[in-house]
Amino acid sequence: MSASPTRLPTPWWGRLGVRVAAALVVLGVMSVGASLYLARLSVDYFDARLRETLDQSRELAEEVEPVHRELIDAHIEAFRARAQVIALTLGPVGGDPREQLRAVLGQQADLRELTLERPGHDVVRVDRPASDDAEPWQTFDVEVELPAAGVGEGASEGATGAGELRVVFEIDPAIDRRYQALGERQRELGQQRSDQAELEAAALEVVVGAGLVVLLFAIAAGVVVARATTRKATALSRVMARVGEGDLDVRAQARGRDELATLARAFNGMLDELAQAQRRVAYLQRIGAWQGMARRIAHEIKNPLTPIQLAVQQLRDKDPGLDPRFSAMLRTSVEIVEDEVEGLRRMVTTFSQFAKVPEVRTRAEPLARVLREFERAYGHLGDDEGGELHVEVPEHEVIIAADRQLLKQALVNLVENAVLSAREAGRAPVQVRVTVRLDPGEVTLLVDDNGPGIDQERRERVFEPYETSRKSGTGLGLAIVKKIVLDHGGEIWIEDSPLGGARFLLRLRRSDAATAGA
Amino acid sequence: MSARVRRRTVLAGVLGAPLLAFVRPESLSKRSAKFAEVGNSIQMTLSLPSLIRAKDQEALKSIDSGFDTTFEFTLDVWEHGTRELVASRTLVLKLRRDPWKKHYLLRTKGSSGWIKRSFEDRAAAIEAAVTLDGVKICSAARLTRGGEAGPFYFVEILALRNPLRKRGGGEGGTETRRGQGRDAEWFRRLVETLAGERALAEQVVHVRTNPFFLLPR
Repeated sequence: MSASPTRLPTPWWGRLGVRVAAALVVLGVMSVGASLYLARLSVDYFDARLRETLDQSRELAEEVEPVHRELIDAHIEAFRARAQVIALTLGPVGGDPREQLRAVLGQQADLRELTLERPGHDVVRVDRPASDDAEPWQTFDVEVELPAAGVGEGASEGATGAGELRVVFEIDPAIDRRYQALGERQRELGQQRSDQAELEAAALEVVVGAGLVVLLFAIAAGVVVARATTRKATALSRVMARVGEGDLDVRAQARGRDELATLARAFNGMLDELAQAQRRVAYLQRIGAWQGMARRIAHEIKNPLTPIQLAVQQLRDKDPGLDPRFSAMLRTSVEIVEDEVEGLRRMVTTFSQFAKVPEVRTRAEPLARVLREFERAYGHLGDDEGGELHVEVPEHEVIIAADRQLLKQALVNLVENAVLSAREAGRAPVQVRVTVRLDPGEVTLLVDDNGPGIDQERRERVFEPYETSRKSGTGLGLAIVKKIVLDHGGEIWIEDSPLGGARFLLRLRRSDAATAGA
Repeated sequence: MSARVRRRTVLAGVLGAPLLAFVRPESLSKRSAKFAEVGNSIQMTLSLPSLIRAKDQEALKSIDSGFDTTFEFTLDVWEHGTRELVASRTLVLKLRRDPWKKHYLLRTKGSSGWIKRSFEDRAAAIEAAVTLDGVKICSAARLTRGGEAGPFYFVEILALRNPLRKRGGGEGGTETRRGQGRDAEWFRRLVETLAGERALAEQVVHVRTNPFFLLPR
């Protein structure tokens, strides 16, 4: 497996973010500006209507003023006429003028006071008692000349008794009250009119303030939305740039459920596959190089082995036996040479096998068939050597794209490696278990043993050629296994086994209906 | 008072609200008044011509139209250097052209009713209306005699021309409004706050007098 990929920090801001935020801000400004403009138009419209109404009210009030003046003038004329009538009424009637005045005062309710002044006579005054109202009566005085005929008892004494009559009329307080109320209304209208501009300006200030608050919120929301949207795009583009530079360890942030997160996840998946493919290719290239070298070494070593063996056999055969000590030394030397040659021959054979791992030719194979054939071929583990091999064949039909012979060889290599490691570690009995795990679209073969296991740091390295921890191992078996698995387009890795040793996991692609259905 | 100036005043008022506790009537603009002790009364003479200007055609027209122009003077006597209100009284005068008798009528509301004065000339009537001539501000017994050593007193005068009636509704109501009505109420309050304090009157003069003291007997 590879090292954990690098996750690039998401950039705080990008040009796209600035553009989106600017667009949102411009839209916000335009919206708020349009709203404010409409608010201004509305205020102007209703202000014009209100001013019109106020003007009409004011005009109405102003129109009442001359009417009021005319009313008062009419009252004044009426008072004067009535005073004349009273003077005339007093003229021909005889008797006590005070009584006459009282009679007149009693007849006319709005008379407040009557005063009669005649030359040679005392002033006669009659009046109505004042009320207790805080506001005194408003009165209007009229003075008229008495007719020459005289008044009452004095009239008989001569025609020269012309005098003056002063009549005080009460003014109806309702006239003034209504008019003052009108003045009050007029003043309020004027005040309302003068307040209007200030209220209008204040209302606009409130609306502008509210608009600015809304705008600030819009800007903040725009910035947040723009940043959330464009940050992912910017981060993804940065990751793509790094990948373009050859760094396959970077990964994009894939938080959330939006389209960009989905894209980032898909991109990360693609990078995972790309990195895996890259590692596979690199491994196969290394294996290929090792195979070439093994082939050359095998060739170079294998050729002289036969002449060497023949030569030492001739030496042993041609020994005359004259000297027993020499003959014994010669036999020992020849045996040593023959043992070493045999060892070299075995090594060359292994090298040749490694160098000649055939090309994988996959076809649809039932996994059960592969496992049963493997079990038959390697079933002797339990019979001959006191070990236990348990192969679990899946109940359902599982079809895989595989080269049956090579896949069996890979399983054989794994089991041999497990058995030898367990024996070297002194495990008895040796236990090896082959099980199957079905996943959507793929199948994983699990090979467990109760051997010493493999340290975490060696789990990648053990697949390298000539890497072994066993005394008698060549370090090629696991390399061959990995090459076969990679040639199948699969993966192989190592975990801890529940049996106490190592667990080799071979993941292969399925080619049956479960692939599509999974 | 212009709208801008009024808004500034309100803004300053809001910002300076915590300082209100320390603001004293002494900070008002000062007008020179004459004080006299007549019997047991302290009388003051002061003219406030800015209450109605000769250029204020609207105000003059209102008087000539026969409408009452009301002048309301609130006189507060303060002891200088302290925040102690010694006495307070209010004077109300009404001026109009009498359409019946064709002269200017100035009425002063006294304790025993309205006192009337007539003027043929409008300027004279206005001058009489805006001049507090020998007006009793308080009883001498309420002030401490100390001569030049103090204590000193001054009078705060709030003069209003045609005070405006307070409108009812929407102020201090306990009714809980909901939805749009509540929003409208908040909007109204906000607008009126920004628009500044609603005018108390058509014209407001708020001044203080020079300090005075009572001679010891």
